[in-house]
Amino acid sequence: MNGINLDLFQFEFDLTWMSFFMDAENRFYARYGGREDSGPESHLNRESLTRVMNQVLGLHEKHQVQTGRHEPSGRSRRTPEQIPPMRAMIAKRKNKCIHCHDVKVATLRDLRRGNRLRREMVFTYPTPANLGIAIDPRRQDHVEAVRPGTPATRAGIRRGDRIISADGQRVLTLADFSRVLERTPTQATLPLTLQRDGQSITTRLRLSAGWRRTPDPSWRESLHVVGPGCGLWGRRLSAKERRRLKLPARKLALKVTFIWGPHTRRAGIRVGDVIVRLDNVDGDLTIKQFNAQPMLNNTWGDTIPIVLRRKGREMTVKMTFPRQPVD
Amino acid sequence: MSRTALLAATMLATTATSLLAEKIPAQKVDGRIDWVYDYQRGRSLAKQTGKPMFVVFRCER
Repeated sequence: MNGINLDLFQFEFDLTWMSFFMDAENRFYARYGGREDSGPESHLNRESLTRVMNQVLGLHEKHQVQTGRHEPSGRSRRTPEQIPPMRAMIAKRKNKCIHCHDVKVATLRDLRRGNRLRREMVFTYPTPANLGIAIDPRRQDHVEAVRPGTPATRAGIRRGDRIISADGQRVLTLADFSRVLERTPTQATLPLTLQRDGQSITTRLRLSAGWRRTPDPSWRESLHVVGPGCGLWGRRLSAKERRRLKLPARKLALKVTFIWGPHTRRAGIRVGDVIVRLDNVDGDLTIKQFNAQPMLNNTWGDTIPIVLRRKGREMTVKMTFPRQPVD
Repeated sequence: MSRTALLAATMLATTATSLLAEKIPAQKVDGRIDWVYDYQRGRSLAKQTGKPMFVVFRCER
């Protein structure tokens, strides 16, 4: 990301892959990429890429670039190097390479330094899934399913509907829709134009507080900026290991394999311990989901109980997070 | 050549490293697509050829 104009190229920086279809004047035809909690490649496939490429070639012939108010101008040049915490972040690196997620981490750290950071800010580029719309991964302007009890159901959206535009912006892909959602306020009414049985339909989605949150943001690299971490790494025990230790199959069972946090060592946690409860959480989690828990639910200086198994004995330790973030 | 590669050939496949970033060498991609590793050069070529650009960001290192 070194030297990239952030006033032009705006996307989900927690990702590792993103693409844009553009003309030579820095204008966009479509965006392709994005992800949901379900996986990094949930909406990346050859069929949808080929489809959008064909659509873009048609749009290019007619010079039909995106013109909505959600398009970036690209006029005021702003680079990752200008985000204040970035200098210190890349100073330690041999190759000085700025990764996509570094842009978001530096941005959130800068907000935190200015006491303007809110935890919700980690939930950037929400996808239609946040509204209850499952997008067809192969035809990304089509609704594959609608989840009951969501803004999408209440707006009358149905399986098979084709999404033409969101808030006046053309939608060809998940990433196109996500771009509009990124710029939609916390409380808003979002107009959507659909095509159903050859007819054009306009509906409005009513969005209320919390709609940007997703159930499992543990994949987000920037999560560690918004809350404290446990300072350890580990792995989920296999079914065989659980049976041997007489641990239930669908409960938390994480073997600690690496510790980097001084607060983790102070709590008395050791490599080889098996963590079976974190505060009030004992559901079966991956190590990323485990580490995300305090980042999403605790704050610096909090003390939480951790229950672990060591040499066949169960014990509870107390972990006190650092009083201030350590960057 | 796959259909996707063929379509990519009708566009300018550009990774968005910029002139400012030239001191950091681009990590080149193997394959059948002739990628342009400099965004401004991609823009110039798009102007010359009348093709749209396919601009890709990847953070694999």
